[in-house]
Formats: sequence, structure tokens, C-alpha cells
Amino acid sequence: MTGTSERDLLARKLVKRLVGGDEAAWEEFVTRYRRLIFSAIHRVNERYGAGWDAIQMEELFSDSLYKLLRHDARSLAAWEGRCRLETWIYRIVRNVCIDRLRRVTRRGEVHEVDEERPDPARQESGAKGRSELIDLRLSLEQAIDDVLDPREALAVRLIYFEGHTYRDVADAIDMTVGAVSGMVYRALSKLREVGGIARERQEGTR
Amino acid sequence: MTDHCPDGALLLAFAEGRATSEEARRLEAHAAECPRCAVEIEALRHLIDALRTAESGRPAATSGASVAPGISGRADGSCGCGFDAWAFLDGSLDGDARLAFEMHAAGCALCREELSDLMAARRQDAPVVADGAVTAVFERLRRERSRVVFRISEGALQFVEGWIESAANFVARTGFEVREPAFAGVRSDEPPVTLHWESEGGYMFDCELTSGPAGSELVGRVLREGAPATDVSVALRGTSEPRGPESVDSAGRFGPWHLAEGASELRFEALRLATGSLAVTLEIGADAAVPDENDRSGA
Ligand SMILES: [Zn+2]
Ligand SMILES: [Zn+2]
Repeated sequence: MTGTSERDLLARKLVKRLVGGDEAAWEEFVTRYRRLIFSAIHRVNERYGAGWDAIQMEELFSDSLYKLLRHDARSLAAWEGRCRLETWIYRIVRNVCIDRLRRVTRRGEVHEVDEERPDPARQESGAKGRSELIDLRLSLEQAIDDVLDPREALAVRLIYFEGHTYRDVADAIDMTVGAVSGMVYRALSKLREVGGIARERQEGTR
Repeated sequence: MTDHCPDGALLLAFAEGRATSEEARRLEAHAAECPRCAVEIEALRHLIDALRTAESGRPAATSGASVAPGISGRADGSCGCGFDAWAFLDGSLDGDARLAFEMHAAGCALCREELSDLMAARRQDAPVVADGAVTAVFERLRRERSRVVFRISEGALQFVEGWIESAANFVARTGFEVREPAFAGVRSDEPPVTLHWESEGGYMFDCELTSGPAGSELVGRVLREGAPATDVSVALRGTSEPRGPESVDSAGRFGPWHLAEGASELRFEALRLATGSLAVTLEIGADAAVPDENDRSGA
């Protein structure tokens, strides 16, 4: 496995070449980070119900890559090793996506695309309207903040709100899958104790 | 529960359908005999169901006038906490730093979003973009590099609701060089705000921005070194409401003006803008060129 400092050094060398105008470094940059860039675009699309199709997401990829590399990678030159390069790239890409969302929102071209997306949870919840879903979300968020430890809260949100697997969460927070499962079980028990949630849910489906 | 009841981790795995078929068989048999566990499994399913349903109640960026509060953040895209989700994921943080990040992320939606998205990006099944998109960007970058005229663009001064962004944010967002960050934290009600931008291509842009009840006024000039034998056009873009004889056009643009071969200075006189939201972008380059009839050069 490559050590942290070695990875850092590789990233610094690559950025140095990009800033120096070395076109061969573009390929290397893309090979290393295209997955990160495209994945970030998909995540914004899903999270905020942007409703971008494959072509729009490809456009956003192009815009992002262009923004990263133009003017001899000036936006990467500004990185200066202050965080992992991956984090820096992700933030730039996310900003490109958010800018696009803001422009569209301002022009009012997209309304509630979210509603058209097939969503198992939504179908199952039947007639539940968007405002009810938001209320439910807010009450659960509140309960999570109030009664869970930071780590429990993080795991619960990553699994149930962000759709990550136990495996991925276990890797992220450096625990075994069994330990995460036990921790989440305790977290859910605490959430049940604060009450109201199960009741609210039952009323909601009635 | 009895001594033989399965532990919580297993009950949860079963309730979520994550148990192995062997475990599931055992649990079903046990639940048939043990009302406590049967109730427990049912309650877990209710709660999980509520959580998964609530997932679609997340903030939507496309509804309402403003983008969901959850996606605000600083201009550099971080929440300003100094944490780094990738460093957390790649295992390079020590125990204390990991704990500190977890504590912070519990209360910071932006860092959680970053962590979650970066987790997704690390997965082997993350989506892949077509090669064509990459090639097109490379071609575009090569075209721009071969251009004779240096182009300043995307340099934008955000002047939102009476505030001017700090110089640090401005530079982080635009990559624009600000030689004299005199406008750091300056409020628009302490006019005039003066800006001096200098590009590596030998262009300078000076302007003074005043703001009052009648609107904002911009006075400035573009200078270039020597008397180059190239033609360029210069345009300013704003998002302000049109106002007065020198107001922005429907595309939100002042100019473009022609900076002819041999000329080294172009002045803007008292461009008037309505108060409110204003973003100014200075564009210099062959691309900004327009037909002569629209040439509003003050020369
Ligand atoms: Zn039992
Ligand atoms: Zn944060």
C-alpha cells in the first residue's frame, strides 16, 4: 500500500506538471480523477433531484474538467496541499454543479423533477406528500441530533439517508460490519425510546 | 428476551434482510417462539421504514426560490472547518483527528455530504464518463493555449445585497489575481470601493464602485502594456437591473468596446447600475469581439 506522504508527493508532482503546462499530465490527471469527478456530479444530481440526464451530466463533467485544467490548472495551483487533492477536486466539481443548479433554479426551468423520479420509498408511502416527508425527515433529524452519539448519528445518516451499505460505512469509520450493525441497533433503540416516531409513521400510513 | 435470544446486531440484520439464509431460518424459528423478539423485529422494521421514507424528504434544490440551505458553504466549497473527508477515508488521520472529524460531521451537513459523496466516489462501481467528453475538453484547452490574445474572463465581483465578498473568497473562486486586495471586507456603504486587477497577460483593470440609493456607479479603465499590434474587445457583464443611459443590455453586458491595435487604454465613465445584486465580469479577448455597429467605444 502506498503511504500517505508518498501519495501526497505524487499529487504534488502531478499538479506541478499541470501548472507548468505539461499536456501529458492531463491524461494522467484524468486517469486518476475522472471517476471522482463524474461520481460527484451523479451525487449532486441524486441528492438534489436535479433531474440531469446522461448528456447533461457529461456536460457537467466537461465543464468541471475544463475548470480544473484551464489556464494551466490555476484552480489546482491554488490547492497548495492544504487538504487531500481529492477533496479539493471534489469541492471544485461540486461548486460547478451547484452553480448550474442555482442558474436553473433562478430561471425556473425545472420544477419538482424530484416528483417524477421513481422512488420505491415514495411509492410505498403512498399518498404522502412532499411536505409530510419533509416533516418526517425533520423530526427524525431532530431525534438523531438529540439522542445519538456523533458516531451513531453519522452511521445512521450514512446508511438510511445516504444509501451507503454497512460494508462501506464500516470501512469509512474503521469498524467491522458486525460492530456497525450492533451500534446501529443501539442507535435505533435510542430513537425508539424518544418515541413519537413509530407512532407518527403508523399514522402516516393509515 | 431469553438467554437464547439473538443479539441486536443480528436482529437488525434480519429486519433489514441482510442476514444469511441460515441466520434467517434460525431467527424465524426463534421469533415464532419468542414474542419479545417478534415485537422487536416488527418495531425495527417500522423505524427503518420511517427512516428510508424520510430519506426522500431531503432538501430539494429545484423547488422554492432559493437553493436548499444544506448546499451553502464557503466559496472554496468547504464549511471552513479545516477537516478533510478524504483524509478521514484514506486512513491517514490519527485517532484524535478521526474522533474530531466524527464529532464535527455529526453537526455539519456540508461535511457529511462531502464524506458521503467521497465514499461513493471510492466505490469500484462508481459511474464512468465516456472518453469523448475527455477528448473534447483536451481539444478546447489546446485551442485556448494557442491563442495570441490573453483573455481575462470569469473574473467576477460579487456584490450581493450590499456586501462585497472578501478578497480571499474572490480569488479562491475565480483564480483572478488581485494585486492590491484593498476591498477585503469593505462594505458598500463605505464608498467608494476601489479595485485593481492585474493579469499575467499585461492587462490591468482599475475601477471604482460607488453605491447609493440611486444605484451603483462604476468608473474605470482597462490598460495594457505598450501599444500591442492586436485588436481586442472589452466587455463587462453584470446581472443588475437595467438603469439609466449606460445601463446593461438585455444580456447583462456593458460594451463590448473595441480596444484597437496600438491603443493601450480604454475608459469606462459612470456606468450606472441599479442597486441590489450585481456581478461584474471583465472579458478581454478576441472572443468578446462584436460587429462595429455595436461598438460603443468612448474614444
Ligand atoms: Zn427472543
Ligand atoms: Zn463542516
